[in-house]
Amino acid sequence: MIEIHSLTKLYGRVIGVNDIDTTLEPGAYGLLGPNGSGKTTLLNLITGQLNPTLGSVRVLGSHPRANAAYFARVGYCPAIDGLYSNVSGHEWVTYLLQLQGWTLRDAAGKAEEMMGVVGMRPAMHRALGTYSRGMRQRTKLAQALSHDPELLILDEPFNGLDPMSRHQMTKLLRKWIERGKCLILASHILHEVESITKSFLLICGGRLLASGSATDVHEILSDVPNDIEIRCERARELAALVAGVDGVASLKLEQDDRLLRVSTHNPRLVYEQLPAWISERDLKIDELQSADESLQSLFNSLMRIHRGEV
Amino acid sequence: MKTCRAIFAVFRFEWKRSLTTARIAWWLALAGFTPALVLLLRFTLSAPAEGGFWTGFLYVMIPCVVSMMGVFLWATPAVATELENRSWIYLAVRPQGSAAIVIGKFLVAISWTVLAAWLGLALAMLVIRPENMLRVAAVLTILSLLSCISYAAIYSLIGVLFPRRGMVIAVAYSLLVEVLLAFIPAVINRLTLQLRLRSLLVNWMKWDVDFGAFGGEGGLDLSRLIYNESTPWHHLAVLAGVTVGALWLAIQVLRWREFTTAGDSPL
Repeated sequence: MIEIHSLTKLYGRVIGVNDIDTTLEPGAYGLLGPNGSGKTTLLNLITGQLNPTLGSVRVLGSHPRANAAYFARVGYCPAIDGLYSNVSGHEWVTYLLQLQGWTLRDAAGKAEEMMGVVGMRPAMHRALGTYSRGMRQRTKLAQALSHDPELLILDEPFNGLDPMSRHQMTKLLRKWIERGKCLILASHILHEVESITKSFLLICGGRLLASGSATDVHEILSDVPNDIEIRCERARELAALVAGVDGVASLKLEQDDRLLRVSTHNPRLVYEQLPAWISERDLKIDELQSADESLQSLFNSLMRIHRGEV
Repeated sequence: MKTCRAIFAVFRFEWKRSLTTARIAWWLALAGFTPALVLLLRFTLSAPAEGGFWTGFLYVMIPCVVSMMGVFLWATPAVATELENRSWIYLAVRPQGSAAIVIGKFLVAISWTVLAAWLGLALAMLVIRPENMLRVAAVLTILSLLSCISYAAIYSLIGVLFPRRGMVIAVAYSLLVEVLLAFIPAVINRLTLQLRLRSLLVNWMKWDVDFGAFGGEGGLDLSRLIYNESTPWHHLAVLAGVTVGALWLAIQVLRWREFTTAGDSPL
């Protein structure tokens, strides 16, 4: 589906995407990375909006840049809104279908159908400017799906959606994948992507850090210590206690001994001990944060592997 | 066929979007500007002016001021507004997107402006009622259309080349090239659209322009300031060439230029 060779994109001196090499077979992929990691730049290169500074990208067997035949096979839903406030959702989707070469009548019919698919039929004749964030997001999805592309590219499609809409969109995208269609879904929230596909590309600092299934990624990370942040009044005293727990790799006191950073291979042991220490020593914990549950921590760990620190 | 459909889609969509109170008011102001000036002149002039004066006045007002200003306001920001609105990305990933946007908005600029120009011309003619009304009306009607077409293409190109400063550069181009250079009696004024339009006016009105020569016999022929003696077909071919060339270049630039959705956008 996608062949990327030594792909680099520079914006002047700033690196957008840095020497990415990968080949993706047809299927559904989650493109994961923190904000500013290079996801949108990579999608812009895949959708042919940017020229690579170095390397090459081929999608669906062709170069995407200024390629009308390729554009007919791809549906793109960008993260930004960019909608006309005085135009209705139905008119907008119809207009974009006409730019695919559809006749007005066919485009209007298909636009109505797709607005129904994304649950926007009751509001489709209202001006886009009156839509809520979630309604705009669903309308954007309708325009990307409407010409039945082979490859659907979505950039942060869950932004602004309420839980019900998230569920509906997840169901819609699962159906899309079941039809044998290709999907690339960029997000910075792991569980959103996990609910749709089990294949990931992890990108950070413009670099592709890992790819494969969630299991593959966890295997890569099995030897990497996890981080815990504990904010309390007597952090030094707590550090002495934590130091005796098996698997602790390092301890760091910060912010005038008010913040303890624990790096451990077995965080569960620390969590199990904490309640006992609190009650026995009368410790007062202000904040406990396991950064490892966030995607950022995953990327931090991968970056450490990448730099050869682990 | 698909490209034609896409162009029609942009034309229809943009026309519909333009039917707002503010834009209709602006259209009426553009159409009413010339008749209002004509009325004022009629009341303030002590003696009735000759037919040539009114034809010249209407030429300056309709094909020059109204037509140029109308297409300037429509065609120059055609791409910049999509970039500012961040709607460009949705158009750029469509097979016929770039070409359809340039040509579709070019056609909207022409139709929107030429209708205002023609209405203004018709109202002004009703006030003036020149002797050769039919000829003046026909010539200025055609010149308004030609002016709209060729300037819309030039302004579209400027808008694509300089999306961030398009309006400023288009004003500078209009003043420096189409006003100043067009009156320099040298090869350089042949590069301007104004010379072609003025030459067509002189030719079609069958005016005998003779201002004499600057510096006595054998000096600079002052009529060269106003027009060029080439045939009307030659002038029309130049206008057509400039229009097609500018549009083609605008489409190519738009297809290959990088407009991203990130903060590094040219806007």
